[in-house]
Amino acid sequence: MKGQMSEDITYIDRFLEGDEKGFEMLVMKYHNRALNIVYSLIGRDSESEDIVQEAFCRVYNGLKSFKRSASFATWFYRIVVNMTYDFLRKRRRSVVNDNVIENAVSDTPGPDDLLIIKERERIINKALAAVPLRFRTALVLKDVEGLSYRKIAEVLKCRIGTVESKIYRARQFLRKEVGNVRGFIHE
Amino acid sequence: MLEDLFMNKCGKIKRMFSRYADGEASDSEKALIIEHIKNCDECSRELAGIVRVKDLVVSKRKLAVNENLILSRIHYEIELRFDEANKFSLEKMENLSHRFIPVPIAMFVVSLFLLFFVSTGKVRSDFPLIDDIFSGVPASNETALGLVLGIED
Ligand SMILES: [Zn+2]
Repeated sequence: MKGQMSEDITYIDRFLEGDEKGFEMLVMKYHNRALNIVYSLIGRDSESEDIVQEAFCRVYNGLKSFKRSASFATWFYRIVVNMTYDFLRKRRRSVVNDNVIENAVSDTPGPDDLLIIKERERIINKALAAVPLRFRTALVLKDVEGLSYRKIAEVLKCRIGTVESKIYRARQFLRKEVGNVRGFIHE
Repeated sequence: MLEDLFMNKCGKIKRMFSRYADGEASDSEKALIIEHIKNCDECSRELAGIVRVKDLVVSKRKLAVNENLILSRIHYEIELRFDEANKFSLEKMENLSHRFIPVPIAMFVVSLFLLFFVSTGKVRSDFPLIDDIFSGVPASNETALGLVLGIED
């Protein structure tokens, strides 16, 4: 993690010295990670891309004020999570059915597998959508992005114990939801 | 009593399951969990369930966008915002001019209005000197002296 942090600082310094390449390196490193976090939180791929693009625009304009006491990843993920919350808040106001989760398949596997993969994705997305957002975010940062409890606590600005219990609660919801789908998970 | 104690222990152990599944449990916690689930079917089932849902989310298909596509899109968005910001500041300048240009125009119109009505005699003061000044007729020396000394004709 330390090596990653110094790598990010190098990119940031390059950008602040006027080299756009520094910013591009950050985009290449974090775009798809952020995309999968947002996608797992909202379940819509095209809108997830919009949110991540918007987050990078904010990074582009805000890197000057980035405080180096925190890691870039923590700062960036906080922006991404907050923007996702803003999106969901707006959507709740405009769309009545908040729990509609669409499928998204990024590349095209063989025709035989496609149906199974799509169905599996649909079930996972539906189950994730059933987890209250306050628990879902911690779970996604853990299981989709693979952050440590300490990092998640930094992103969500809460205690490590809180992160742990959020993840535990999220998994309880998931178990209940997935258990309802016959044959999907054997318990 | 013994059952209560065991239930209480189950509660404590269950709270450590996520930590265990995420590889964040200490060695002593791991040993405690492993020892407990050997003798407790309920906790054993619960732990298995937690590990399964974790694996499920971890195995979720990852979206991946082509790097060049990402960069071109983000650069486009940044430029778009830059243009919008510029347009916005220009618009602000225009708004400012809309707000400030009417003031001198209004002052000009009022001056014209005053000049017109005073010169046509519609507005007359009781004071001859003022009338003379507004009508453009040069004030006589007597009138000016009378003004200074406070003598009316
Ligand atoms: Zn037990």
